[in-house]
Amino acid sequence: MAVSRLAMTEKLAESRLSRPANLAYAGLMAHAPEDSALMLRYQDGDVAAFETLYRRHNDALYRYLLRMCKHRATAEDVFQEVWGKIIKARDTYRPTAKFTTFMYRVAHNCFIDHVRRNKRHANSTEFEPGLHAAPGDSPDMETERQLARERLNEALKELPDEQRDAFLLHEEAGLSVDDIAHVTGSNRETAKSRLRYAVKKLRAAVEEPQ
Amino acid sequence: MNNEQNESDTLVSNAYRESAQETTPRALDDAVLRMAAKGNSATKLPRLLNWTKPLTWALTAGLAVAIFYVPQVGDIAPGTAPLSLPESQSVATPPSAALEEAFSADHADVIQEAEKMARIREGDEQPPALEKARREQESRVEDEFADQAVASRARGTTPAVRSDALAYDLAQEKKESADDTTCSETSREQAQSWYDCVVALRDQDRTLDAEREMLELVEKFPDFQPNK
Repeated sequence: MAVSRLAMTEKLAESRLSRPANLAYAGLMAHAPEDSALMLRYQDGDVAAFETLYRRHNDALYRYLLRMCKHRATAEDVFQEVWGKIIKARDTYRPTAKFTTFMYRVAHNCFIDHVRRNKRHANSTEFEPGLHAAPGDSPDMETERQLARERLNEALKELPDEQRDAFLLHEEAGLSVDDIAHVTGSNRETAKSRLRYAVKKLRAAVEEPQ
Repeated sequence: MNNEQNESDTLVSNAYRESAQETTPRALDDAVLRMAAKGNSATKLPRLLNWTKPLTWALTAGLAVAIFYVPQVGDIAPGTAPLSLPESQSVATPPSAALEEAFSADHADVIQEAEKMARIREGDEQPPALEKARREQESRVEDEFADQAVASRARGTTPAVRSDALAYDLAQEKKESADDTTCSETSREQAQSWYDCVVALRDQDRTLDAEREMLELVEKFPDFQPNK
C-alpha cells in the first residue's frame, strides 16, 4: 500500500510538473503580442514595446530574485543588472527560445555571480515576505492560513538554493521541467528531482499539524 | 487519493501565491525604463555608422592589393619589349622634361659638379682635397722613411722609428704588390745586385717598392756599403 501510494504521488507530481503553471497574466497573453515580438520591436527602437514586455515580467522576476537573494537591496541590484543585460543583449537577441527562458537564464546567472562575489550574504536573511489576508475569510480560517503561509515561507528559505530555484522558476516564471533544466544548466532528471523534493518539503510544511 | 495529492500541490501553490504579493518598487521600474530608453538612443548612432565597417574592410583590402601588386608592375623582365604607343598616340614630352633639358644645357658644369659630389658621397670617388692630402701624406712618409733608411744604413742598423702610418702603408703596399715583380730572388742573393735593383726601382719612380727592398736589404746585409 505504501509503495503504491509513493508511486502514485510521484506520478501525480510529474504530471503536475509537466504542465505550465497557471500564470496570472496567461489570460492577457491570448491576444497580446509575443514576448519575442516585443523584444524584436525594441531591437528596432520601439521603447514602448520594451515597457510592455517589462510590465509583463517585472513583478514575477522581482519576487523570484527576492526569494533567491533573501535581501531586498541585493535583489534590487540584481534585478537592475538582469534588465541591464537584457537591454544590452537586444541587438544580438534571436527568438530561438522563449523569452521567459532567456530572461530567467540571465537572472539565474546574475544570481550565481552575485553569490560568488558576496559570499558573506550567503547565510543571512533580511527579507521577510508580507503576509496578506484573503478577503472574506473568518478570523479563525485567516489565522490558520497565515500560519500555513508563515510555515511555507520558512520552509522556502530553508530549501537548498537549487531546489528553491527550481520551485520559484516553476511558480513565478511558469517554466516547465525542460525549461528549468535549460535555465539552471542541469539535465532534465536533475531539474525534475529538485522540483519534486522542493514541492514535497513545502507541502509537508504547509500541512504541518498545529 | 489523486485528489488529495493534487489538493496538496494546489495548497502549496496557493499558499505561495497568497504570500508572494510583492511588486517592483516604482523607483526600480523608473530606473529600468530609463535605462532602456537611454540604451536605445545610445545605439542609434552606432547603427548609423554601421556602413563604415565594410568601407574600412574594402579600403584595407585595396591597400593590401596595391602594396602587393605595384612593385611587380615595375619589374619588367629583361628582354621584354617596353610598352609603346603608336606614333599617332605618342605622349607629348611633359613640360617638366623640357625644362630639365633646358636646365641641363645651361648648367652643364653645375650638374657635372653635383654628380661628382654625389659619387664622392657614395664613396665611388675621393674628394679632390682629400686626394691631395693623401698624396702629400704618402710623399711625406716616403721622404721620412727614405731619410731614416739612409741614416740607419749609415749607422749599419735597422731604422729605429717607424710611424704607424708608415707601417700601415708598407703593409698595404706589400699586400697589394705581392704579385708585382720587384727584385728577383737571384738579385737578392748578392747585396750589390740587390742594391742595383733598388736603384733601378728608384729610377722607375717606384719609391715605396725601392724603400721596402732597401729595408730588407739592410736587414739582411747590415754591413753592406754600396759602391758609389
